[in-house]
Amino acid sequence: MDRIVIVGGGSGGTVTANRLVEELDHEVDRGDVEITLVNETPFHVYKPIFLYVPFGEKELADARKPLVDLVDRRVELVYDRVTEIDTDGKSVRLSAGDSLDYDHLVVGTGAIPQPDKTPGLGEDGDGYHFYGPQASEDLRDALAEFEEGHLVLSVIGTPHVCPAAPVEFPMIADQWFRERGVREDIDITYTYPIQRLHGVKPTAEWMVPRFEERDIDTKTFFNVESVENGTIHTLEGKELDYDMLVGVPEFDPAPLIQEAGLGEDWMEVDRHTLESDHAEDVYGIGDVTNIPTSKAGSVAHYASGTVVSRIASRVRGQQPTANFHGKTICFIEAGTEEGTFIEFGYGRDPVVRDENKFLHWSKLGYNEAYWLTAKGVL
Amino acid sequence: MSESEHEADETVDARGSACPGPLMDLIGKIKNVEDGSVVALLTEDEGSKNDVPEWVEEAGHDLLDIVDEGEYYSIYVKKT
Amino acid sequence: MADELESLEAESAAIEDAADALLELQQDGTLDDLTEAATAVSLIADALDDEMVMAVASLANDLGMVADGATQTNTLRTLQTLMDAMDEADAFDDPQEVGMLGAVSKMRDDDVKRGLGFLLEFLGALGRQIERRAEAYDYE
Repeated sequence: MDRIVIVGGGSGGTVTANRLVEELDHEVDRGDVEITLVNETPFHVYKPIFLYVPFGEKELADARKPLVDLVDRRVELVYDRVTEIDTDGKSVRLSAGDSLDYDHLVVGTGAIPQPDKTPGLGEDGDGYHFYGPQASEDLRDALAEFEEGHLVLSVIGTPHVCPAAPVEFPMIADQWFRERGVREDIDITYTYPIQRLHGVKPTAEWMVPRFEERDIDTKTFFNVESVENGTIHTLEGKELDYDMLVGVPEFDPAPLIQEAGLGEDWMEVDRHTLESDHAEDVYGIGDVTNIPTSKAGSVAHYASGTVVSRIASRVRGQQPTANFHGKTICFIEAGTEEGTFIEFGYGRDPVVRDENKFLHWSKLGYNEAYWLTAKGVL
Repeated sequence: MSESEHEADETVDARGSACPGPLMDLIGKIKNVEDGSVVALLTEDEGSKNDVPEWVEEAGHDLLDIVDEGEYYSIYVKKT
Repeated sequence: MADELESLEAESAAIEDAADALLELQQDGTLDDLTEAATAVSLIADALDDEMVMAVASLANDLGMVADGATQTNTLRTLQTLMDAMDEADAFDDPQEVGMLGAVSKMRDDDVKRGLGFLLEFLGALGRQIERRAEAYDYE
């Protein structure tokens, strides 16, 4: 009997569980394969919604659904935290004390925001972020009262998830303030660590005129070192005063990864097979991995096809042949009425299209229909 | 394939990385290492040959070498 | 200068190809159809707003969730069986009221026994599926 254990019920884990059941349909029904999905809570969270919460366009409830509504009934759901992965003994330990043995393990524990490790954010800071449920609600409350002053969106953490969100936030904010009639009294500045507005050149070029026409000021070569008393200090020796700071936090993998010897930092996997560099029959999916592309939900989704195919081959005693080529697709909201997207893969340069309302609607529509992707229907 | 005389304490393999790109990958690693560490950035992006030295200078680190390995570049940066 | 000439040449070749393609479409009447269809796209663009897009997509999502469940092999078979049974039973033809004694006597019928057996199995499965949702839906 093959036991497949998936750690993490996010985008990667959920769609992998569903597609595994679909692929190994007969084996599962015969009882030759058992699939277990372990997640800390009963809920699956669709994080892109957090970007809309600060503007009152979505509620937190829209961002999550019970896993039981999204996974095939034949997937065993365990609501617990994995505290240890024993790759030699091939088992994972749960916080409740029991352990689960595996023949194949998929790790999808994600990237966890670290506001306390980020200058300006966390308990000691007065900055805000939107990379977590509570944080995005706190930001919403602060933004609702913000009617004048200097708002700074600073990309502080490297790496961070969703490279599109820091670009979207100031553009949505600009539109939102205009609709509230307070844009004239607010200055918006966007800061980025390197010498252009974004890591991806086509995106940086796309941003320049659009930020200019929206009167969004920009600061490049801006690596935030510390934040004190309303002033940001960078390691390049620059200073910037703010009235409200919204920061992109640092991100870390779960400590579990390093403790299990799966990576010094992020989980180390082969970029094409997604198999762990350090352990047999262990696969990584999504933000937790070190693959050379963005930490984006679409990557986890496309990668799951490869993981599912390779595990199925092994279950059937065949040679796995599927490879992942880094397919990534990211929407970029350009304000509240226009959007665009970029698509690329390993070694393929991204191309940004001109934004239009159909692309904007496609993104809005997708936010509603995302759950079908998690189920493996779309 | 040329031999480099530099020993890297850490390597960032950003070959094929389109987003957010090799330089951002490098910055992420540099933040996490100790002063004095040497980080090797492996990149296929031609632009890295300009971007990386520019950032390294602005950030006050040392650019040790850029080695053309044929299919990619190895850029050695020392954190100071 | 040579670079510019090269890219000009490439562009004019592309323009020629595009013109040829358009000519074909024009001659076989497709271009007329396309331009007419395009006005429908304009209509959609003008008529839709964010709320409508989200409402339709949300409905599509819900229907998709249901359809996905309904098309599982067993579910599909059972649904079809139930539908045939509904058709056969014609509930509104001569609806009788059946009390306890009537029910017990109907249970002597083999077909009713068969149906009852199915119902009881189904109830067990239903109980298990409800139990599976207990923690997420927050009930004991």
